[in-house]
Order: sequence, then C-alpha cells, then structure tokens
Amino acid sequence: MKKWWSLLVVVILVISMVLTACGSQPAKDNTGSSTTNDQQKQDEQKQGESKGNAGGEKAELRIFWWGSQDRHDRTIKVIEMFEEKNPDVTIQYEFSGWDGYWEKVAALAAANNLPDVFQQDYQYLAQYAKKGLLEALDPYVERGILDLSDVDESSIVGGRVNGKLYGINLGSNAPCIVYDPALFQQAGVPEPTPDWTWEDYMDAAKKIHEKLGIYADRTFPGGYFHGLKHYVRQHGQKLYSDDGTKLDYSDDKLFEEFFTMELELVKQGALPMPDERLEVKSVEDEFLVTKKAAMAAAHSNQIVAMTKAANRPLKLALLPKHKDQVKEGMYVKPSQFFSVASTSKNKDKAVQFVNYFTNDIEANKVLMAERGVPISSKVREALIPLLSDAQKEMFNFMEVVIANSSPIDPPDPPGHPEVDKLLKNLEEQMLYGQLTPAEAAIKFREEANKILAKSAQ
Amino acid sequence: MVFAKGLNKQRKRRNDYNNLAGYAFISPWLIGFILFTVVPIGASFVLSFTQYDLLSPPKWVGLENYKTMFLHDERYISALKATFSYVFVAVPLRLIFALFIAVLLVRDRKMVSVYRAAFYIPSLIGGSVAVAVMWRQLFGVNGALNSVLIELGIIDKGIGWIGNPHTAMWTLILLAAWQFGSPMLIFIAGLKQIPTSYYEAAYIDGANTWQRFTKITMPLLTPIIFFNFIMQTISGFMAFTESYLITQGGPFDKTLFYALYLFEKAFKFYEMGYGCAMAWVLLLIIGVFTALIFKSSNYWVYYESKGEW
Repeated sequence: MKKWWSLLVVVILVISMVLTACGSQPAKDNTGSSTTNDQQKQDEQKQGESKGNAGGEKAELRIFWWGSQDRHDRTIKVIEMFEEKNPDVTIQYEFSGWDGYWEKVAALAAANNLPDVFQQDYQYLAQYAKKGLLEALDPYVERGILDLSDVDESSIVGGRVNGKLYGINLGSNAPCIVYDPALFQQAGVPEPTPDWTWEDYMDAAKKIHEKLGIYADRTFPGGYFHGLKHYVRQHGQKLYSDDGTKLDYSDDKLFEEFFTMELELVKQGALPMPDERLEVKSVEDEFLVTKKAAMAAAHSNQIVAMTKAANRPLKLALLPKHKDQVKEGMYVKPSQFFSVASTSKNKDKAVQFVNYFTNDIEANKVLMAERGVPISSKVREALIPLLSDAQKEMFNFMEVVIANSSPIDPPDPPGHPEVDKLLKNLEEQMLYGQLTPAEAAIKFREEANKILAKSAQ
Repeated sequence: MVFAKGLNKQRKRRNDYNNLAGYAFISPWLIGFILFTVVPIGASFVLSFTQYDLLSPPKWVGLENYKTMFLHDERYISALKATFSYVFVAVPLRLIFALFIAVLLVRDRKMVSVYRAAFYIPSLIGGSVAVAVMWRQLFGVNGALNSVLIELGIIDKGIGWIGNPHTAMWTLILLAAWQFGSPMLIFIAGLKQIPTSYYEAAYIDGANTWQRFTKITMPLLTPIIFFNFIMQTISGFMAFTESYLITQGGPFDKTLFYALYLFEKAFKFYEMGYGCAMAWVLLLIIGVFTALIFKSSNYWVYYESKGEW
C-alpha cells in the first residue's frame, strides 16, 4: 500500500512535469502539440480584435535592446516620451549588455515569445529573417507608417535580406582607424588622407615605431576579420557567397598578401604579438589611449568613448586603399537595427515606435547619436550644432566614408561567428610562426567552407 | 488476530498519510528537481541526436553529431587534448599541495586556524572574475611576475604568460594548484582520524619522520586520498570558468577546455544539438575515469575496517 501511494505521487508529478515541459517546447510543425496550437489561435484572435477596433484598447509593446548604461538611460527616456505622445500604448522594456543578449533572444524565439521590437545586429539579421521570425517592413513604408523619405538608400540597404527590409538602421558607422594626430606629428609622419594606401600605412607604421619606439597600432587595420573583408572587397570580390554556403573570393593570394603584411610589421616590432594584444580589455587600456600605440582599429562611433578615455583629441582615418583597387573596400555599416517580430500582436504600433526613434528630432536630441550617426538627414542637421568635438569628427568622417565607399555586402551568414573564431585562431598561429600565410589561406578555405555548408543546412 | 490486523491497517494508513505529508513538504524541491534537472537531462539526450539552432525546430540527424565530433572536428580534438593535459597535471599537483599543507597544519600550533582559513580563501573565491583579473595582472606582459624576473635579470623584456601558447596552460594549472583549499580541509580531517598511539609506537621503535609518514600516515590516509582524487578528477573535467575568464580558450585553442568549447558551440554558434552530444560524451568520459579509479582502488586503498561498497 505504502509503496503504491508514494509511487503514484511520484508518477503523477513526473507525468505532469513532462507534459508541461513538452508544451513549452517548440512544436516540430504546426500540428505538433495542442498547447502551442491553442495559444497561436488565441494570438490570431487577439490580432484580429486589435485590427478590428483600432485604438480602442491599450496596446502593449515589449522592447529589448543591448548596450551600456548610457544607452539604457537615453532609450528609456525616449520610450517615456513616446508613451506620453501615444496614450494608447504602454511599453515594457528590458535591456542587457551584449554578453548574454543573444542567448536570451534565442531562448525567447524558441519559446515563440519574441519582444515586439528588439535590437538586431548585422551578423544575426539574416539568420532571424530567414527563419521567418522578423516582419518585413516594406508594406509599412508604403502605408506611410514608417517614413524613410529623409534617409539615403545606402543607410537602408544593410537592413535588407533577400530584397526585403527586416531591420531599420539605428545609426551608421564604419570600420576605421582611430589615430593620435600629435603622435603622427612627433614622428614626422603625414596624417592619413582619404587616399592613403596600404604602402602609406606600412611606411607610417614603420616610421612611428622607429622614431617613437612605440607600437604603431594594436592590431592590423580592421583587425583580422574586417581587415581581410576590406582587402577582399578592394579586389572586387566578396568574403561570403550570397547564399552564405561558402567563401566567395576565388584567390587565396588575397588572404596570403593581407596576412603577410601584418606578419612583416609584427616581426619588425611595429605591431604587438597576440599575447600583448590580449591585455586590452576595455577602452581605458587601449594602447592608443595609453600612448603605447599611435593607432587603433575601431568602429567610428567608438571615437567618442576613446577620446573621453584618452582626454586628448583623436581623429578618424579610412582603412587604407589598395593601389590597384577595383572598387572601394569601405562601406557604411549599420551599427545596429530595430526589428519587429513577426509574432508581434501590435505591429502597427511597433513600427510607429521605430519610426519615432528614427525621425523624431526631440527623441534624437535625447539619443544624441549614441548608436552611431542617425540615418535621417533632417535629424543629422538638427543635431550638428549640439555635438561635442569627437562627435563632430565622427559625423564628418561618415561623410568621407560615404564618398569613398561601395555598397555593403549581404549580412553575414549564420556560420559567421564560428568562421570568425577560426580566422582568429589562424591569425595567432601565423603570428607565432606555426603556419605560413599560404598554409593558413588553404586551411581557412577548407574549414570555413565546411562550417558554412553545415550551418546553411 | 482480526484485531491485530485492523490495527496494522490503521498504522499503515497513518504511515501513508505521513508519507504523503512528507512528499508535500519536499515538493518544492522535488518539482524543482524534476523540472530543472530530470527533464533537461532527458531533453538534452534527445536533442543530442538533432540539429537544433534554437530558432527553428530541432531536426533529427541520428548519430551525425557524434560522428562529426570524432571524425571531422579539429577543435573538438584540441579541446580534448587541453582538458586531458589539464586534468592529468593539475589534479595531482593540487592534491600533493593540499596534502603537504594539510600535514603542516594538522598539528596544534598557535594561530593554526588562522592559517587554515588563509589557505582556504583562494578556494572560496574560486573561478571568480576577481581572480581572473588578478591572474592577468600577475602574469600579464606588465605583470608582477615579469617585473620580478626583469629585476633579477633573468629576462629583459616582458613575456605575456597568458597569451603565449607555451605557457598559457601552465598559468591555469598554477591557478588550480593554488586553489587547494577544499581537499586540504578534507585531508586535515583525515589526518586527525589517525590515532596518535600509532605514531608513539613507531617513535619508540625508532622510526624517523619520513618513515612515520610513509608507513603510517599515507596508508591510513588512502581512503581520503581516494575520495579527493575522484572528486577533483570530476571537477577537473568540468573546469570552465578559469579558461572562460582568463584565456577564453586562446591562444589558438591551447586552453580550450571541454566545457568551454561546449558552451561556445551551444550558445555562441547556436549548435544546441552538438552541445548536448558533447555533454553526453563528457559524462561518458568522466564515468570511465571514475570507474577506472574505483577499480584501481583495490590495489592501493587500505580500509581499516574492510568496507564494502
């Protein structure tokens, strides 16, 4: 008797747990489990209702982003301003740092519970869009809910996947070089012009190292990844194929040339070895900031934080051109997007919020280009008189980038994070002399193609 | 007879009620255990046969994940190498260290509890961020170690111990050896169990310190060594925070611990199925090693009262 009782209790507990757990797992197909199905029906019903009596009930939006404390404060303020202007909308928000953000978003996606509006990144956009998790925004532009009339196409195109618009760029930046003009002068090296080439860069680096005894740069321009991408683009090719299943550039020579240049500078002592590069964990100990180097690879919006940390004027330069380049390697990069979830129940309101964020001048006076240069020309004009020197440098620099750039490549494929890690490992192996650039080039192609083919399945 | 039976029944019913109440009281734990431990374990086993990126439903791939792991994944092999070399060096080092300090601290001296606490502190702060930062400060290019070595004239330019492929693993092993607190405490408890009369008898017979240590202390301590050995081996295989915080697996995967690679695969590259499969293989590896240690114990572990286990 006693045994039976206890067994029964345990069995019931287990069964109920297993059932509830199954219910919360994503169904294999739409007819999968009954609970999710019911919920979907409910969702559809609610959606129908809200469409039916538009503006009747209070719409609720959930918004999620990553960033620093500064960004959180600014964004929350704008959310409150939006709520004030739209009394029929209440907004719940959530935020975190970059670490952990994507784990959380993936879990929410798996639970069919994505926030209505959430921050997207270029390397994840395609993955989410292709899985049908994001709402295509073109119809909203047509219906006038989303106004992109003051936005240049080059700032929009990064948000497109297979021709459809899935993300609105919250600010533009570009991979670039931040440099200290005073150190350049001290070394007797001319400051970079928009036309400077790889030869100019190599010369400048060597001279700075010889004259001042410091490192020229912490990494090679653009770091291992953006740098290589830039170099490949200059030769009229792409790093990834359009469908994201393989590497696209045809000639391993490009890989070899690029890393041979880096290796040369490391051997001369103009660039540090990877072990020393590791020491940099935050802006404050960036070599440029501590005057251990005259340059740093960064994205253009980071100049604001770096100037603040260095407490002396810094300037921005383009990644070097190639003397025989086929096209411009530089491109305007969306620093991050807002995307609307396809499961959102209040899509119109969600898009309206994105529109407010993009076009409203008062809102942008609060945001103050913290996410990069705003994409709306009207907003940019309104902000210019309010900018600090570093912000002005960033705004002006983006104009230079636009004049010296070619359209951005399609968003990185799902396998990108793993390919990135592979390239980092190979770079270190080259710098420690365990592989020659030629060997690394072959290995990179082999391994990267494997990763890309697998993740595209 | 009938009466007795009725009484029995009554007692039984009361027992059942008592049991039920017991289950009710532990239900918060029980529910948590089932929901957050049993179910995930089951789910991870099923998922290990799928390709699952969290964003779309899992796709059944059979043994594909397991095959890839051993046949086509170079980084997996690096992770195995790194983990094994870590376990094989760090665990014995830590145990030797713990035993050495325990022998020193077992005698009653002034302030001995202060010393014990002091030696235990590194284990308390475990794999925390603070320790990682400190380790980077100690072994960094401009770190304390380099300053001392330069001052002594042994080297003339700082070495990045953490970023250097030849030394990175050693910094982690050193960290593991430094955190010997919990095996040390267990050793101290074990040492106190050994009757002093044995030592007195040996002393009278003219045994010196070394003889007393090898002939009395070591044999009588073997059950404790055995216990510590197993616990430390298991936790060694599961080491994660050290390499995650200090080296991030670098340089080029020289310190890529198994658990760290698992984490990368699952949460950075969104290959949940692969991650699950890796977890099950890790369980198997740990199981095999534990079993081997148990088997070997017949030959070197001495029980005073012949224990059956």
